[in-house]
Amino acid sequence: MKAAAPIALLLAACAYDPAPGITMSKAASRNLECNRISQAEAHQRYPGRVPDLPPRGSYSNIDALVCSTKISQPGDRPARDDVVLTSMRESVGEITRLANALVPRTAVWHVDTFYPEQLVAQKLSVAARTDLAERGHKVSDRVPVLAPGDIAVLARLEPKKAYPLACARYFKEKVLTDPDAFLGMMIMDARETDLHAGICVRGEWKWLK
Amino acid sequence: MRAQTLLCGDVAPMARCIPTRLPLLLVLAFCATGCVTVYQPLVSLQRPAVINPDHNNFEGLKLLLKCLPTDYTDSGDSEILCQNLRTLFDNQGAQVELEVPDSDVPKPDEEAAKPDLIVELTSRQLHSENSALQWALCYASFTLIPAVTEATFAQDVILRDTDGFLLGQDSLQGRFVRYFGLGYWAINGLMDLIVRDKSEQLTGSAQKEEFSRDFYGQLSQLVFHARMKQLVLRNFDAPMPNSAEAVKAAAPKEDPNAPMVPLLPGFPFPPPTAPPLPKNPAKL
Repeated sequence: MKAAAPIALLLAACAYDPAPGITMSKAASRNLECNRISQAEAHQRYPGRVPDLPPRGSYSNIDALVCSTKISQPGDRPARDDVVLTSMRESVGEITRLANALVPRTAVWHVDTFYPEQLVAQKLSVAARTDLAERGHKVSDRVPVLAPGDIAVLARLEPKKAYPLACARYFKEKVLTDPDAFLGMMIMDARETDLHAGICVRGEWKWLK
Repeated sequence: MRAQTLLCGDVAPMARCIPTRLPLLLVLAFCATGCVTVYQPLVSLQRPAVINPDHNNFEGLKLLLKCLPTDYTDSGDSEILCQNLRTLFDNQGAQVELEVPDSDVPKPDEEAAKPDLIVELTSRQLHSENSALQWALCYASFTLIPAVTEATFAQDVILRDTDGFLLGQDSLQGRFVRYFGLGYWAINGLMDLIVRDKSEQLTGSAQKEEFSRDFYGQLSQLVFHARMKQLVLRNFDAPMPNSAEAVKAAAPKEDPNAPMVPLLPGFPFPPPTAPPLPKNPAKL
């Protein structure tokens, strides 16, 4: 019985530690997003679980490791899709913030995403449209589409030439007209997990990031 | 305690016990050297890396690595970090120069061509814990209760172009926890032996390889993103880092039934999956 007491104590201590150990696998530990915050902040966020700072201060510097489990399990989706979707709020937010600063309020936004996985591309487009609408812009659900002949030519060009040319064709072919603005988000290399973006206004293409 | 009683007897003087206790003490001392160190990625380090650091991702890129000493890392540690990272990026085709203040590393030649990218690295310790009470409990329990020491660190990375324009930044945070003691070591040793897969084993030095893989993968990914962002913002004034071998390695087999990617160019590759990471990355 005496020998069991330290082991019980050990197991109890391990159960609360998010690091890999006796009760936590490496895979489960990697699926956590953890942040180290001060005791004061932890008490504000979780008043029932973290005690307040002692009124006369403390000899030791105590802080808290706050962890949340990611929605998807590791391996549920391809690595790049996982990174792009996990950081979608930040990446799309940054893009719409940049776009918002460059285009007048009267513009009607059209959004499209050039990403190999169609489902992920749709999610990104919807996120950008929602974000632009929340910023007070007019947003269209219509996706501008060029003629098959144009796409065949554009597909053979480098991104440097292809996107500006596509932008010019949108306006020349009246797919987009003057109050319209087009936001394109894309990746250009299989090794990227960070989105690029550009806007097309009055037939002129401008890279945002 | 029961073992001591059986060996020594209730009334035996302490001195007489020593020879009979010696093997037990030796076994305890041997076992107590068993530490289990675990690594937990906290922020950004557990993000999947798509780039494969084994491939030629930065052919011809001039890279300046600045490893800046801080309160947490002195110039010696910074130099070691920079040397390891030089190997990492050399292997990927970059031309790497180092800058480590207050160290033996020669300063980069100012007359030489300017770097394409500048990577600044600084380290911070966010938290450390090493309780004397735990050590006392550990020894009082003959190391059945482990003494736990832990350190949480942040490796801040800033990427700029040669004009100082900010191309990216991140803070890679992780945590190392070391358990010292027979109890913890024995339980984990048995679990490694009987229950756990090789990838889940905790004893041994797997934590070094895991951290190296995460750290090098994320750093390579950050530099690649910065390079691509630089090319885009400069309207592609340099060729794209288009190593056919690397692109092929990062892409899965093409699925003939996959829906066609709609529209514009820019996709000379099929949909991706994570490439295999190097088996033996250089250790930090």
